[in-house]
Amino acid sequence: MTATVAQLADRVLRRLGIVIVADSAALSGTVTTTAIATRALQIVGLVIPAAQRTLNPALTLAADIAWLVLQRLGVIASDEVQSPTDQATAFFAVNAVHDALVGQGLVSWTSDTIPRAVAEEYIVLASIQLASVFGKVADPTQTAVMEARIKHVALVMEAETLAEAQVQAVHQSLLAQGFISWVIGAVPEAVFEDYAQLTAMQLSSMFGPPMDAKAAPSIEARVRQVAMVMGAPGLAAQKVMAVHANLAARGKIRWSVLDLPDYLEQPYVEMASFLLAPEFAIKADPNWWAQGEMTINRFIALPSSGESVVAAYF
Amino acid sequence: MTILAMTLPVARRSPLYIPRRDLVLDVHDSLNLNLLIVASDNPDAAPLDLSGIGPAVRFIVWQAPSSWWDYGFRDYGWPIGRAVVSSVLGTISPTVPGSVSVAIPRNALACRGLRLGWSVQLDYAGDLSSIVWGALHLQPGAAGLLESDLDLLNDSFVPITDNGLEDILL
Repeated sequence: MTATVAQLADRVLRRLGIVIVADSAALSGTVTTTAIATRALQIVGLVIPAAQRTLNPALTLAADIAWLVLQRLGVIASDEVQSPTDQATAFFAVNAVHDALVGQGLVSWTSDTIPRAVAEEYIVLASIQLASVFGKVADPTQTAVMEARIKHVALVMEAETLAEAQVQAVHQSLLAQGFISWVIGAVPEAVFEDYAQLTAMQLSSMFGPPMDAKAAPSIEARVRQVAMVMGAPGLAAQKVMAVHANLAARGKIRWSVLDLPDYLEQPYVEMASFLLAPEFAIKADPNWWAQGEMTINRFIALPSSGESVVAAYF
Repeated sequence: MTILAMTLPVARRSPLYIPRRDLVLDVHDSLNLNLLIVASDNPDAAPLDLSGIGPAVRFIVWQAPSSWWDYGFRDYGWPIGRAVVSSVLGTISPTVPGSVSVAIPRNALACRGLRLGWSVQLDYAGDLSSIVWGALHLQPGAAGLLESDLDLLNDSFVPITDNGLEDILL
């Protein structure tokens, strides 16, 4: 009966309580950046993913908004033709509103591709600017409200791109801290929710009140733990081999690593546990090593042949 | 019959120690040693390709010096210069890579002393190397079980016959 290095490594992990279940299922499933980004956006309140949102693709020209502004101010009736002067004035005001929004870094679209979703907000903002020109009274407090709504729409339209960039940032941060070894295209399913939570923490201030970031260290610690558990079998196997190499270097092995007798399982596990424990911040007992070595010394002690030994004096 | 299987790496882990395997047999035992010779002492080591003409594996038994310590076999010497009791060529398996079997017939080691040494020499790719060695202790059988008709063997454990082709007895 031969114990393999992988079997011994498995036992080391169970002995230290790192991987409890024997032959635990491999963490093979991975998730995409898009999936993490979508989940992060759901956490911050953007419930419907971009793929399911049916934003009216029809766009509104600034000139159309200008005409609607004149109607809103009562300058013209809905069936009336605007004068070129009024038209130019309103058009200028709409463009000014648009430029102000661009200037504040709130929108990325052009004045000819204004989403219909913010047409009403553009009308209100332009109306506020033009009200005094046409002898009307407007409520200037609506400016901030309308701009906030436009900002939110613009954010939602860019949400997936922003969130995916943030997932990358979270991943790079974990990588830089030496917590993980996987690439961005192979994030394990096991840390899907952790990645989403960390991403959402970064995104939350854009979409509303910022989330409490106090949980971030514990989430990162969990990701680190998952990464360590994933790498644990390899690490444990390295320690088993280190025990073997140590014994070989002192001429104490009577076997190869390919035909380890099963009675060596316990001493090898004890000694490898001693080496592996610090890697997982587990306190190692030096007796583990000593006990294992003592057992091995007993196993390799050659019984007497019974033949008399001639004493030699030097 | 004692059947033992061993995996023997060719590449050594330590420059100080030649891999060692100790054996204890009954003085009248036969021994079937099934060796798997691999490139190195690693879990993914590949068996050595011993097929073709050239590679050879030799099992050597040698006389231990009488001054060898018994417990723990703390010797001062390695077989070089020791008297070779016998050597046998292993049979290389034509089908299983790296597999070699060595057969020692019963009583072959009787009357050779109780404390012997053994080693395996590999002749591979034009090089000769000892890939394993160890103590070979023979437990004396009970007096009543000693066989009286022990064949006289040559160094390769083949019975020596007289002119009439009858085995010569010890």
